[in-house]
Amino acid sequence: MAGAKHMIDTSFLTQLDRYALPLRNRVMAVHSGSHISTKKGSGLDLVDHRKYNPGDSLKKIDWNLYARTEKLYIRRFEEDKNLNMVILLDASSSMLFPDNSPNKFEYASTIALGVSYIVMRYNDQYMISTFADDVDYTKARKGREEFLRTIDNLSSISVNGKTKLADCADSIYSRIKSKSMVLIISDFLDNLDSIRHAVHRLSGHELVLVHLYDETEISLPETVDGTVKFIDSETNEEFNMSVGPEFKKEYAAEYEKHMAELDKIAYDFKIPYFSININNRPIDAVLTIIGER
Amino acid sequence: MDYEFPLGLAALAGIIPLTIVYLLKPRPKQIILPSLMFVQRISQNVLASRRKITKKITDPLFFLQLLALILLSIAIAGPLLDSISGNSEKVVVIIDSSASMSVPDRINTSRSMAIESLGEENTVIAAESIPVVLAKAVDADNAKELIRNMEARSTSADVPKSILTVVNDEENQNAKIVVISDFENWAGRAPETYIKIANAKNMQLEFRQVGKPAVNYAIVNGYLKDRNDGTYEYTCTVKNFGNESVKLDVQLESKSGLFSPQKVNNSMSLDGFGAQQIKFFSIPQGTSTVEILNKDAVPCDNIAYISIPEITPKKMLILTDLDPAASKSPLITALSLMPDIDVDVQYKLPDDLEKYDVVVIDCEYEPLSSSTVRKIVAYAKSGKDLIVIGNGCLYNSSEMHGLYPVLPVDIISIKEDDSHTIETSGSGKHIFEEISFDEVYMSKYLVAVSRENTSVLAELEGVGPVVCAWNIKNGTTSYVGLSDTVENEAWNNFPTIPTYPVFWVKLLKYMWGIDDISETNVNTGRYQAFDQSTRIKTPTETISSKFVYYDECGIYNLNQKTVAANLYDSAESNTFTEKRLNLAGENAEIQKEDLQTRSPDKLRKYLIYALLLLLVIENVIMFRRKII
Repeated sequence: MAGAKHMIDTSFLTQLDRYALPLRNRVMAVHSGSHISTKKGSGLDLVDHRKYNPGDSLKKIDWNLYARTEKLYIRRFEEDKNLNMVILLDASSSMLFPDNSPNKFEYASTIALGVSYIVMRYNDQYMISTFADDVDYTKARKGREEFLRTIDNLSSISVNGKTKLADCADSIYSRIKSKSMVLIISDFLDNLDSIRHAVHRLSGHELVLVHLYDETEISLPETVDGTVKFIDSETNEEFNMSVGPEFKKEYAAEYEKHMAELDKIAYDFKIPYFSININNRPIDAVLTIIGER
Repeated sequence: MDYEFPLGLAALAGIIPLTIVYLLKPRPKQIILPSLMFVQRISQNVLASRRKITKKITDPLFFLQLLALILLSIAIAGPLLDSISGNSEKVVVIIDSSASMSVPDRINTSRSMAIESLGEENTVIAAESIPVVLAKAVDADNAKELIRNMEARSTSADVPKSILTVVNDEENQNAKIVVISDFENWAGRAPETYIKIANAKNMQLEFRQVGKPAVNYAIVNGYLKDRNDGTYEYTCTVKNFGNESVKLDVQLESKSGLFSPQKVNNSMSLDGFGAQQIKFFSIPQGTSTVEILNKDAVPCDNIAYISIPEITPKKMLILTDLDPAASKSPLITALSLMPDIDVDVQYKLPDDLEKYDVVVIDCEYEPLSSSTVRKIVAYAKSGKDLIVIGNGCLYNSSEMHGLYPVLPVDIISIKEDDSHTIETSGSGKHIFEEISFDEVYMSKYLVAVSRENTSVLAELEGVGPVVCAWNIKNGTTSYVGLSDTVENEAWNNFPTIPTYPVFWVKLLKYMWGIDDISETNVNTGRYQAFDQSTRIKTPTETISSKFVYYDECGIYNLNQKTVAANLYDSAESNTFTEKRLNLAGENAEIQKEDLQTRSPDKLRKYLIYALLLLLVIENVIMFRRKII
């Protein structure tokens, strides 16, 4: 699929104009914006004073208070900070399932753009990084022009490799400087320990797990019967099995067990977890993620 | 395991291409799945051994087809399984009781074998010319006693018929049938055929052969020829069933109530397996025997019994309008020639009519007087024999019409016509077999119609009866529409043909109830039934029965008839044959083996059921896979 153009639906973006992204925690970001920051800095609202220490900017000295008290105090203001949205998009081969459009990657890209659109509209920063074996970093973007470039990038991105969520989390952890909202959009077809590790690693941020699946992944179609050669879409590993109704039941049970484990991980770390069928409308998925549904 | 058709197992070779097809053919559907991890997890639950196999061939269709192929080939081969338990509770013993079994060692050995074979419930059958059931479903003790008392009879044996009788009896299902015979005279299909038939009906059939070759001399193919002078000519063949030359003494002995006994001795030399035909002329009425005096293995074929019915002299009156002194009509000539008949030719009716056994009326021109006719009618009605010749006078004269009530026909008219031939009918076909009616030309005749309860023996084609008889009390009145007028006024040429006298002999024998010689000289094995219980004196005992079964050689007295019964069966007399059914040696083992491992059909049936089930399952699978 590398090099092929991905079909990304952007028709629904304008419907998102009236929605904003609420943040549970105060954000920590180097860029100023409309969200309440955990930091005190150069905002307009005075919070308190502190004693002057050598090296502090002279501009921050409250001369009026000096006149009254003859002591040097520094004025401290509430600092307004921008939201920093980091979207980690799974670009492993498994995301190319199913064969028809949209596949999981296209759907993931669509909802990533939807979320980014809302962020972009509030002039916040967003960063969409794809990951598979490794993370493909992009710089944080802001503004409408950058947004269009993002769409173009996503539609032509190469999707291959195996999901290695733990490694990717380790790798990106150091790159996210301020406390951000981290959205992981993936099929999470990875080792559960690896997923748990990744969640643990990124749990310092406002982390959201978005799990995408296709119905045929869980319930194998009727045509899949008899001797079947299963080929792993990520590793190309082959596996012959005799498929019957019993097998299909066992398979579905395994899948559901995996999903239950994901839910448990999210519960353990008290982070939101969304399991989304790619047959749903992307806008619904986006609204679910931003908490409007 | 043995198979009925071992080559059927060659179908198993089909496993090789089937396996190759499944190994080579990229049959598995390829499904690209992101979640193979779950498939792998499931497969870990499967046993390691099964995983190994399924790595190669995983399609259950392969295993179904493999199993179907194996079942099919086994079904074709037909495994022979014991369908009957080794010690059958039900046993049917068929013992050959034919003449050849009278060779001393044979019947004794068969008795021992039969007793050895007995089970809990036994049926004993003597295989003679017909199967004779001696005992049905008796216990072993009773069967033993019966078998010990069994003797060989003097008949030929139809063992295959006995086997089929037993096999076709539904009551013998699951029975073990033991056939004990010398197999000298086997007139059926190969024994294996009967084994298969028995097996098909869930019975076990076992053949046991007895006896060794034994030298025997026999009289075979004996027959009698009527010389039409009251005596017969006897012809027979004396055979030496041995490989060495022998000098045989043959003796003819005749006994009769009418004549003094006669004895004729003769000697003949026969080579090994040689035969010689001998003839005895003028065998008189009564019983005679032709006997080989030399001792041999089978006694019953050494004596040929001959029975020629004894005819007591009869008095015959011929009433005719011809002057007996002047000339003799062909009728008078023919009847006068007959032995044992005292013919009295009269123009007028004698007073002592009752002394005559039979009256013949042959009036051509001059009719009998009315009183004579009345007396004749009364004579016939009293149960005496009467013969009326159909001349013109019988129709033209009103006096002669008085005879009509006793005639078996109604006389209609006289006709001149030469386009009709005489044909025998009914029992006349047999009686007048030797008469050349085809040489007879009729130019003038009486048209007659037969009455009810008459026997038409000969008729003029398309006209009506010419020889007809009926019974009045104990007598018989016959109408013979064949005028014996000769010369220019002749109505037909019958009196001129050579068999004309024979016609009268045959007709009188018929009227007097003297049977054909073949009725008094029969072959053993014949079964004859009577309308009522009859006292029968067999060669060994006297019984009262509604039937007689001639199973002994000798003289039988029944119904005032003397019947001679003879074996006359060279196959049965030949006790020196080497060409018996080969049931000895290696074949015996095969036989035995075959007998113990029978029906392939029982298992075959279940194999086919299983096969059908597999096909149904296979179709269901294919349907689910949307292959069909």
